[in-house]
Amino acid sequence: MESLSEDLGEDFDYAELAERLQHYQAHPIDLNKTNTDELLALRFLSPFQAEQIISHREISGNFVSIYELQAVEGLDLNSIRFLTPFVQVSSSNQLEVKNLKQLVKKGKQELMFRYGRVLEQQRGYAIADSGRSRYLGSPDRLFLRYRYRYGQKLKLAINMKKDAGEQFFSGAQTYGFDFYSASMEITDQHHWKRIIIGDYSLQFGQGLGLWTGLSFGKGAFIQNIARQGVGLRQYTSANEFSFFRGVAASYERKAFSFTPFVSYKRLTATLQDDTLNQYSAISQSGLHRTPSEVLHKDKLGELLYGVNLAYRKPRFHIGLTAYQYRLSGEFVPRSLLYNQFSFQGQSLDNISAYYHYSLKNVYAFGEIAHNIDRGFAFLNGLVFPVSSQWSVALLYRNYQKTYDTFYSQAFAEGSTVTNENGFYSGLIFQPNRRLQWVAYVDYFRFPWLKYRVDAPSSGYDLFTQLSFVPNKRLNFTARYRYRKKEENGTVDVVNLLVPFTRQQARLSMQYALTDWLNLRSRFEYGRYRKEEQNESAYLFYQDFIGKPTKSKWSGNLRLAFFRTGGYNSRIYAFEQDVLYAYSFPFYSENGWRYYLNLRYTLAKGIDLWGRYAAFFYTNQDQVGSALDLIEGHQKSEVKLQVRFQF
Amino acid sequence: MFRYLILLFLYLNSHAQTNPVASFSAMGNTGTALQGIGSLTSNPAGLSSLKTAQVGSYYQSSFLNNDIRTIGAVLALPTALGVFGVQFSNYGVSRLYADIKASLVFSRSFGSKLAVGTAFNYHQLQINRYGTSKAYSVDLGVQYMFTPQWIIGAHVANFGNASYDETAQAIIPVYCRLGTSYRVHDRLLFSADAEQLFYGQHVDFRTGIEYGISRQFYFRGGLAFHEIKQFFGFGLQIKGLSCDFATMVHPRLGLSPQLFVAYAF
Repeated sequence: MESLSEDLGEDFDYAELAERLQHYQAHPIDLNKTNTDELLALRFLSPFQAEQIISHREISGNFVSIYELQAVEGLDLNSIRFLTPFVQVSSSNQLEVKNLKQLVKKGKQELMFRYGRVLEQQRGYAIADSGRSRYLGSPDRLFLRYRYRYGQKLKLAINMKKDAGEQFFSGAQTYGFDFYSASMEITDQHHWKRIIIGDYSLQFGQGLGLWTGLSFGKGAFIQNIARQGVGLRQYTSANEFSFFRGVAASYERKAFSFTPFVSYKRLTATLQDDTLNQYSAISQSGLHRTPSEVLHKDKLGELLYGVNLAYRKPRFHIGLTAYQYRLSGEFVPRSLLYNQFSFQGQSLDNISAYYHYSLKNVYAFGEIAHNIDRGFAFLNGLVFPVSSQWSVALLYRNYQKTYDTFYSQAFAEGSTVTNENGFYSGLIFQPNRRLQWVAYVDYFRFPWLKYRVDAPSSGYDLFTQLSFVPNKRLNFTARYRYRKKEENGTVDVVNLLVPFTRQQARLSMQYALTDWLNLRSRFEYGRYRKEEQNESAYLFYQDFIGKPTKSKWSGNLRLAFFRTGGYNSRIYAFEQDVLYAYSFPFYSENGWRYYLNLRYTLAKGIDLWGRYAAFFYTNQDQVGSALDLIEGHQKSEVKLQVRFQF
Repeated sequence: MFRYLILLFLYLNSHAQTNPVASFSAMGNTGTALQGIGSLTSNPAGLSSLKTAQVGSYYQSSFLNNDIRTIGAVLALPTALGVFGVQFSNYGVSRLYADIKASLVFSRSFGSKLAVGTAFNYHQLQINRYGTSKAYSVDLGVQYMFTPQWIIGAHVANFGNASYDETAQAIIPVYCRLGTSYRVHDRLLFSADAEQLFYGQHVDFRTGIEYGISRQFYFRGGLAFHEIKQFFGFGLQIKGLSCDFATMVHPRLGLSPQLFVAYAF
């Protein structure tokens, strides 16, 4: 989980990934029955690796044990180590059927409740003056999660969430929680592979046309530049924007599949003009804490409906997606030059076509998408071995400035699929299973202006990583990243672009000291330069991860020390959290960070979690800014969680 | 417009003749540790491995501009003494500006590991209605083969710091290059160069890869890091005839396509 998330970036919703991995840990994938789609759902395998596993099975017959994975070409030790907790090999098919029957008899349920809050008083809660912006609710965070599973056929998911600062059973949240999500999934009914009523997510092709939820970009997993949309999935995460609400189904017959979908939900949007019914901004944060956030809640209706058609063979896959997007009001972004080509209006029609094809070891993939009457976006890539030890990955993308959608997530330097073209080339060197070296270069251009970039701009991103796994207990990685981009310089009469660079160097080590205690250390150095600014930063942390085999207790602890030159040279680091939760804070200024997570199994089916985490700053009397400001030099947080399985 | 073109020239002049032929250029303008007829346009020591006589001709356009171009020819002749080579190139704008270089190259190997090469160059700068300037320079190069697959090379161009007379606003670049190449198998080759210009401040690192999907057809790619530039190309090899295409992609100025055709007797 950690290795994956480091590559996803800071504003990513990890809960979905956490839940999915948790699910596969409890219900491992059967290597003898699985397909590439299911393996790819794990996210850390590349499409190439997934296909190697399947083709190994086709050639050598069923897997006898999971250790046979070591014989699969293209799987390194790290990938195998990631994979083993989530896969199994069933001893015989008959037993499987018996088990399945037993499973079907029992519906499994799970109820989980989480509470969390920041302990120090934040400014937004202390303001009493109703004329000023302030947090209306309490700083408590509440999360309730319910799951019901009837074999593999029926799944029910309910999430309820209250963010810090939101009201509870009062104000705008008269129904209690601020966010409710529910869905029911029925699978394998004749040719209906999957039917979902409620909240769902859609991922097709390379993500140019339609993609919500989890996605990967650039990072150490070079082969992950090739994506494979998993299509329709039940939505079980707590992100309040990136999902659909309604009905969707997937009908499969032989190699064809047909997936119609319809969704309606209400968005948080800023009303610009009442009489013209115009909205200037759509919020994706899901936060409704202040009077103005509450005012904009559920203001704009959003209808989306469409269909996906796909044709799938083991080595070949093509698909076509078409959808219409309708808003109940007109979306008119603020009239700034960088918004000139952004989506504007009340409706949007989108079509996209995608493919992937693997021949021998060459994996080709791509997608083209079009906003009707507006722009195009396309992407093509290749991943192929050039020798038994070397592989090359290439990707070219071109997203026109007039291509703009709300639900696209594709390979890009920017956060959206618009106004960008670039060429990515990566290299993987794997002389043996213990050693891997990867490097990539991505050169990109933004043909039109962007936020705080008042001219067309360009930049590049260089990355290299060496990882070494001398034995099963030890793991070393060293990485270096250099990024250069352009943005507005010091404000003058005219904003001129100036280059800025970010450098990142990291050494990390993981060591299994005993069967139950893992140690993880990291040192990271960062540097930011822009005009006269020159900030450098470093972070060191030590993790202790304990999991005594027979004990009811398990837990982990981090001690971190950091020193940064300011906000620009901040360092992000992934943190362990209570089950299904995630934490990916940035370390900025000077100070210490520590956290402790504990898990206690009270009885079979009842688990408790607790977390205490704190930042302690040595050079600051205030922490945070605006409404989150804390007087003092510490910010600490607790979480408590209980789960019942029955 | 013409004024800008001249400005462009002056800026580019220091780089102009340092582009090797397309087969090397596609690999990120590397070549210090590469071998073959293309060495006549990079490290002369790389010529020593040649077994048969070869002749070739090339064309390089600057930034898709038909007016500014380099045309050149190369010839190499292995003898019992070593390999002799001749190179001729003309960079500039037809009938207006010509930076001509003619070189006589000699390269030979000492034992199976070491190769040394030297080039004697005649330079002539000719600007229409302004006159002509001449100069002579010498290049030295060396290559060492740790294994048949792994080569390192060093190359100094114009180490005597020869120059045109002062009235000509053009220089003959002085630079030092260190490079290495590694042949993973007969269709996969990596190379890397570091270059320091005598008047430059930065070391430019470059790297390239060549991959043949068969023995006849090769893909190449490369990268220069100081002022990042990408390079692409492919090559076709049919019996003695080789045809290589390459282009440099400059972030602002765009494409510079090149072509190199050679024949081995």
